[in-house]
Order: sequence, then structure tokens, then C-alpha cells
Amino acid sequence: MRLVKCYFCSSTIYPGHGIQFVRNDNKVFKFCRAKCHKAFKKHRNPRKVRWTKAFRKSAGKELAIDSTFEFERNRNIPVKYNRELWNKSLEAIKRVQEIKMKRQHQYVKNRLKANTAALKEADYEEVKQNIHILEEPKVKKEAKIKRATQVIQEIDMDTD
Amino acid sequence: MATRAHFEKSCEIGVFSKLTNTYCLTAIGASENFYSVFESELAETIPVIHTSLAGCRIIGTLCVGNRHGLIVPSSATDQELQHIRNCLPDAVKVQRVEERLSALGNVVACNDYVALVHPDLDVETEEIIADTLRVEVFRQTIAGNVIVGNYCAFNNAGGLVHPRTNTNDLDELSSLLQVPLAAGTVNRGSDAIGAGLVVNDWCAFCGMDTTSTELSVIESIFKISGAQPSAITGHLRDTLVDT
Amino acid sequence: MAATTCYNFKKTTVVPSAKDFVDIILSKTQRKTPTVVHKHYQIGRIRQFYMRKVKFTQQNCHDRLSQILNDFPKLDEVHPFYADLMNILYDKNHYKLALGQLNTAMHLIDNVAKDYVRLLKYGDSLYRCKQLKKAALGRMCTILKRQNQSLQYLEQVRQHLARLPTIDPNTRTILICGFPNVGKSSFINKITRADVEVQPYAFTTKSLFVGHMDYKYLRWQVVDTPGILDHSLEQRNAIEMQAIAALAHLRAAVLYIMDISGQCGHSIEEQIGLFRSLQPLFSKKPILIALNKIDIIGVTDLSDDVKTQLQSLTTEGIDLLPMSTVTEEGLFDVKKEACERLLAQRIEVKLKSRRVNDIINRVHVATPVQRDDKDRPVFIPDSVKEKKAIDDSISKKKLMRDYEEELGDDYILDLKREYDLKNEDEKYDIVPEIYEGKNIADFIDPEIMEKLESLEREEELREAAGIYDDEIDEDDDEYTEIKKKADLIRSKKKLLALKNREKKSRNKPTMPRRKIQATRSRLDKFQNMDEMESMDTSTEANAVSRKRQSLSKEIMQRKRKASRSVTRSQSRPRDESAFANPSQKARARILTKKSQKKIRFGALKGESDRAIPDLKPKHLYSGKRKQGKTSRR
Repeated sequence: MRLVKCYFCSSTIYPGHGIQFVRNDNKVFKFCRAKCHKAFKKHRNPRKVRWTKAFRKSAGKELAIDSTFEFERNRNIPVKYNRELWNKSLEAIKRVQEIKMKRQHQYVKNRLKANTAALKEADYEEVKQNIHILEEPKVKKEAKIKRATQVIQEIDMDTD
Repeated sequence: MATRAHFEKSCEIGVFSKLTNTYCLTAIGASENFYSVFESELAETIPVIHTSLAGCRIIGTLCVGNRHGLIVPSSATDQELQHIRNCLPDAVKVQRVEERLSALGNVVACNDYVALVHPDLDVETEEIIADTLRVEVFRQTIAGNVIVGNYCAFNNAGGLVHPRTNTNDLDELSSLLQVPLAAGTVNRGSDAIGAGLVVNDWCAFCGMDTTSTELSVIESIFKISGAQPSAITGHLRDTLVDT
Repeated sequence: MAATTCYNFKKTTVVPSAKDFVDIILSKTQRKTPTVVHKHYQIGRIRQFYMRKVKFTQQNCHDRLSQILNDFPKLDEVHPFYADLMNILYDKNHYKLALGQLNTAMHLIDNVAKDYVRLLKYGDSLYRCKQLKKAALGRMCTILKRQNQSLQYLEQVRQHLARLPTIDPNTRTILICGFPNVGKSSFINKITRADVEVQPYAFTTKSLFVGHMDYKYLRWQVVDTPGILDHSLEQRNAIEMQAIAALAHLRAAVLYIMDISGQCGHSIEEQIGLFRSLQPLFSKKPILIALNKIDIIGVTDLSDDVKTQLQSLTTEGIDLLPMSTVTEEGLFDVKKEACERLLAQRIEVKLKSRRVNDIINRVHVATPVQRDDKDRPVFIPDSVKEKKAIDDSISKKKLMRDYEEELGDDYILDLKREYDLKNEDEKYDIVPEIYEGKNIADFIDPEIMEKLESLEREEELREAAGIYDDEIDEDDDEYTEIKKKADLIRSKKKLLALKNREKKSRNKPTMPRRKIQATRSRLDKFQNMDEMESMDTSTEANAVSRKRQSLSKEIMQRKRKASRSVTRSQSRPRDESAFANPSQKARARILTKKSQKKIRFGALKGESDRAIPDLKPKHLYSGKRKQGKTSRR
């Protein structure tokens, strides 16, 4: 049993899910769901389809090169079973995952930070252009004033 | 000593087992009879292991190995690879290769020093074979057939090839492999030598249908229990010509 | 293939006698064809009925006879040995004649049937057709009855043929011949597993017998012949002729057995004489003479003139081998010598033939030419050599198969038993495969701890460098104000947009503007109310509400009274309650009919016809493709 990555969107495929396509040149393509499978059949390039991990990494939207990625590799030379090594590896997996997440979050934050000055500018512009929306329309204002005066007059009359 | 065996009524021993000088792999069958044939001959000397590759029982055709290492195809699962690694002694290197021609047993024939390989094998695989198995690799065909692993079997002392190989090819192959070679059959005239028998330096196993003539040829060419290749040109000659 | 047909005669069909044959044919006709016919049937049908019977009988006869003719071997097509043998046993002429007569019978039957079928076509009544059929069948049966002799003879031939020994004329054969009673059958009994009758009287063996033996991993046939007497060919009887035929046609090694003791009743000179007369038959075959019954008289004990006679044979190059079938002395040597000679001859022939190339590679051992200095020794581990040294009987290990048989159903194949780990108690650990959404196998590395250490150090360095610190920007108050306003503006904009969108969508049916006139009187009514500002003169809802309000209070009350339900009996039916008066109702009905005219007279689809106005409604076909079925798209 093995968790594999979808060829199109790079999400993990759990056992019992998805479809596998074997091409005549012996290359195997695994898909997590029909969405990815159909996109593949339409000859879509995952590097150009915006929601896939392949696009995000190639476009620099997410962390692509890091030392934490070296830990998880498809290994072809097995190691003899050793309980201690296996236990340590389990701990290592968790720790590596934590660090990887941390670094990814930081990367995204840094990417978004670059835009703060522009956002500030936009705020200034917005206020300058559209401040009138916050102000009340004249006609309504005058009607309000008129009624307010009427009410005041009635009250005066009553009190008299 | 050459023994006859069968795997669940099939005489193709080479398909269901792999025998080398340091280990032996057998397929998991319905009963232990096949395993016990190997066990009775080999148990105290080398490990005899039950295994499967890619969930299949045809392990002999899928993997290739000699006393230095074992190479399995990419279709072998992680668990099987781990199982094999746990069973084999540390001296034997185990590796998985990504290769289009995944039936490595059919594609590669080797002993501890030399390997014959399908002409279309990838360069990387060839390098891995040379490195893990510590052999010299040659791309060659046997009697015009490219699936070399199926049509020949050889150990460090001698080799048996497809019966329709002519004498020139025999001489050429022999000088490549540096072992004496003979052309013969196994399992009552079957061409597929590599599929019909497994051999290492001191014992051989072949299918139940193998005739006594074939068995004596096998024993003489592989130099098992003291027999010599001279027997083929000697007292077996008449038998071989007249059949 | 000629080879296989020539020695398997057991598959010939049984030849019935004439009476049986007729019975079989007629009963089959009766069973397999329709039996009922009446004279009131149509003549065509009657004719067809009887024609069918005739044709069926003819077909049947033809099939059976041709089957017999095909199954019996044709003397021209079989191996000459069998042709000769059959000639001897059954007389070639008689055999051919019998088969020929059956053949003619077959053709005659076919002709009979043809003729009668032609006649039947013109039969005009049931009686006449029946008579024709009877005649046809009668004639066919007479033809068959006439063949009785041939059929009986062929049946005997068949039975005998099936019992002939299967001698393969092409394989390695050793032929044993000699005078009667010399010890041929006892010889074959000793060498092979054959059990030929051995008796003290002559001509015990009356036909050929075959035995098989092994030599040098090959199968050999040994053929025992009946004894041959020394007279001319014409005087020979059938039994002897069989032996002669075998000698003549089989490519075999000949073993001529001589009885030197004289027990057979013939002297050695006579035996040598026979040998000489048979010599032309031995021309291309390896020949050996075996001197049998040496337990009675040894070779050295023979008289001198006999010895000289035997010497003459040896000078011709023929080996004399002493043996005794009783004591089995010298038997093995005789066998070996005969086999070797024959093998040598056969190989010589084969190598000279065209098929040399197919075989020559099988006996060729290619020895390698040393191409470099590298030494490639055979690797046999020491444990193997040790094991060989130990006696086999001592090391009787219990195998897995034995365990399996012992435990039966309880046997479980434990794969982990074979593990070779550093720590033996870790063998049976349950190893997980997946952890935290990752495959553990991808992470297993002997250096994982070192790598993790370096990673941790890297992380510490990064933290120290302040990469993970949050930069809290100190915004000045002015900016915070501006930001607040900007956010408000944006939210307000969104709300406005939504409102405008709402306004655009018309949820109620609208009254066209021109129908509602803003009359003065109407407008006056609204003086007191403030709805005028927000009044939209084009909405129907307002129009209705305005209409209601325009009517005076009294009128409203009256209306309500009229519409109030009093009692059951006085309740107005529903189809009238909507209308002010019956004339209005009638008018409404007319209007309904008018509007439906087009649909009715034009046979068009109307509102109540089931039609899907929108095959792709927007709400089902829009939106992003998320997890879920989209197969309807």
C-alpha cells in the first residue's frame, strides 16, 4: 500500500481512490479524480492550469526548493529493518513536516508583504475619489431638515 | 546434483524461482512442496526465501541476480522490497530499477562475472547492473532471439543455450562469457532453457519432463557432481545425434 | 503423417457381417426418417417421403463403406515392411480384391439409389411410391448380402491387424533370428520385459514379438522372429516368411543366434549353412553371431572342424560372442556390442545426410578463448563442502512440507520466519506503512538523524536571523483614519451595487405605463399621505392599492357584504365568485376561447403541453467544478 501523487494536481491519492492510466511507452499516470483525468485527456498542461500545485510551484507562488524536500524521496535501495531506526524516522517525519509548513507559511507571507505599499496607495486614492459616497445626498438631507422643522413646530404648537 | 521439480504442475522452474550461489528465491505456491525441494538441497547452506514481486508469483522472470546482488523491477512494491532486504544477507545488494523492459529475468542472463543483456536495455539500467551485480555487461542475441534470459542459463562453470544456436554463435558467445557452452534442450525438447531450469555452481533444478539425456547434458556442461563437458562429445554423443 | 499411420492399426472401424450390415442400415433408416404417411397427403409430399428414405439408406451405406475403405491401410502407402507382412499374413491379392469389391458395391448402391429416386419423381400414388422404395431398398440389401465373404474376410483381417505388435520401422531395432529352438525367445525375455512363450518344441514362436529396452538413455526395440529353416524361398511357410520380411525391410542390427550344443536338433554346420543362405539379407546391416547355450558345451570344448568353420566366419569380419541365456553369462556383452554397432551405423548415415546441421550443434561444446587475465573461479560456499562431507543419513532435516502435512489446515506460511535481522526479536514487529499522510518507506535512511540535526541547526540559524519575525508596521493615525474610510467606502459601494441589481430584477408582473393615468382626482386623494414621493406610477401593486383607496368607505363595505358567505346553500360556486355578474362570466369565457383559438386550430403546443422551456438552466450549469458529480454537464 502506498500513497501516490496525482499527476495533474499533485494531491495525494489514498488507496481506493482515483484512476491509473498506463501508456504504451510503459509510463503510468495516476489521477485523484475525474476532474484531473478529464483535464489530462484534453491535453491540458498542469503547469499552465492555475489551481494545480505544479503551476503554483513553477510560478513561484509556493515554496519549491528547500532542504526539507530532500527527506522525502522515492528510495530504490532498501535498508534492513531496525526498530530504532524506524522509530526515529517516525519522529523525524513529524518534525520535518512541521518545519516544512513553517517555511511555506513564511514564504507566502513574504510574497504578500511586497504589496503593502501599493495597498496603502490604493486606500488613499479610494478616499480621494469616492468620499462623496459616505456623505448623504442633498435632496434627502433637505427633506429631513424640513420634517425636522415641522415636527419641532408641532411640538411648539402643542405645548402652547 | 541435478534434481527434477515442478511448481503446481508446471515444469517451468526458472519462471517461479531464482537460484544463485548465496541465496534462493521461490514463489509462494498453494503448498510447500516446491519450497521443500529447494530446502532439502540447500537449507543449511544458503537462505531459501518465499517471496512475491509486484504481487505475482513469476519471480524468476521478473528479477535478476547473482551472488553479489539482486535487481528487481519498478513494479515491485515497497513492502516486497523490504521483505527481500530483510531476508537476504547484508553482503547481497538489493536494488529496484525503473526500466521499460520490466521482466528482468527474461531480459538479462548472468553469472557472477558476466551478464548478457537485451539489446534494447536502457543505458542507466546497464550501469546499475554492472555496479550492483559486479559484472561485465554485453548486449547480445542468442540464435536471433533478443530475450536472452529465457533462452540460456549459465553459471560460473558452464552454460546451456537454445538448441538452434549454430556452432559459430556458440563459439562467439563462449569467448564472450568465458565459459564452455553447449546447445541443448530441457523439459522434453523445450527451447526455453532459462525458463525451464535454475542452476548455481553446485546444483541444478529442472522440470519434471526433463529426459535423462537432457539431465546428463545439464550435469556435464554445468559441471555438477563431478561431471565434465567432455561427456557431451564423448559417451553422450551417440545419444544426442540419434534422437 | 506416414510414420504414424504405418504402425497403428488399432483404430480401424469394426466390419460387420453382411447380415448385420443390412440390419444396421435398415433399422437406422427406420429410426431416423419420418415414418408416417397417408394416402390422402399431397403427392409431392408422398414422393418426398419415399425419396428421403431411399436417399438416406444410400447415404448411410456409402458412408459406412467408405469409412471401412479408408480405415484399412493401403498397401502402397504403408512402410514396405508392413506391406510385406500383410502380404504374408493376408495375401495381398485377396486383400485388394476384397476392398475392391466393397468399393464396387458402394458404387452400385449409389447407382441404384439414383435410378430409383428418378423413378420416384414420377410415382403417382402412395402404393406405387411405396413399391419403388421397397424395390430400391431390396436391391441395396441384395448387393450388400453378396459382399458377405469380403466383409467376413476383412473383419478377420482387422482383428488380426489390431493384434500385430507395434514395430516402429524407423527407430533403433535389434532383430533376432536363427534356427528354431536356439534360444531367441529366452534371449528377448532376459533383455526386455517381454514375456514370450518358451517351450522345448520347435516353432513355439509363430509370429513377430517386440520388446523394449534402454541403452545409453535411448529406447531400443528388440524383435523376436519365428525360427527359420534352411530351404529355398518358395518352400517357406507363412511363419518363416514373417521373419524373412522383418529381415528384409527393417533397418536393424541382426543378431544371429547359434546353438552350439546341438540341443535344437541341428548341427552347427547346418546353422552356418542357414547363415550363408541368409547372408544376402544381411547386406547393409551390422551383424553379430551369438553362440548360445555355452553352459552345456563351452566354446573351447568344441571339435576342431567346428572351430575351423567358425574361424571362417570370423575371418569374414563377423564377431562371435558366446553367451548363455540360462546363466545370463555374456548377455550384457552381446547387447552392448549390438547396440554400439547399430548406433555407429545410424550416426554415420545421419551425419552424411542433409540434416547434419540440425544436429551437429548439439554435440558441439564451445570452449572459450581466454580474452583477458581475469580469473573467474567457481564459487561454492564452504558450508556446501562441509555438508557434502557429512553423511546423508545423519542430517535428516524436517522440511516445511512435513510441517505442512502435519498441521494440515492449521499450517500458516510465516514469511517473517526467514528474516535475517541484527536483532532477532524484532523479526515479528508490525511495521506501519503510512504515517501522517506520508509513506514511511520514502523517509527511511540510515543517516536520517544526522540530516535532521543539520536541519534543526539551519532552522535555529534562520530564527536567529529573524526571518520569522512579524513586522508590525506602525501606521500613523492619519493613515488609520484613511484606511477606515476607504473600507467604509468599499463596503458602501458593494451595498449600492447590490441594491441596484435588485432594482433591475423584476419579480412582479408590471403594468405598462400608459394604462395607468395619473388623473387629478387620484392625485388629490394622496394629498394627506406622503407616499407620493416614493410613488412609482408604473407598478401594478400600487395601482391596485390606489384603486382600493379611491373607493369610498361605504362602497367598500357593500362589496364586503356581497362577498361574505351566508350559508352553505346560498354560497356562490367558485367559478362565479370571481365575476360580478353572469354576463361578465360569459364574457370571460369567450375571451378564454378566443385566446386559445390559435393553439386549437393551429395544432400548436400550449401551456399544458409538457415542454422543457430551458434545456440548460443556468443554475445547474454555472459555478465552479468542485468536489461532486458533474456528469450531467
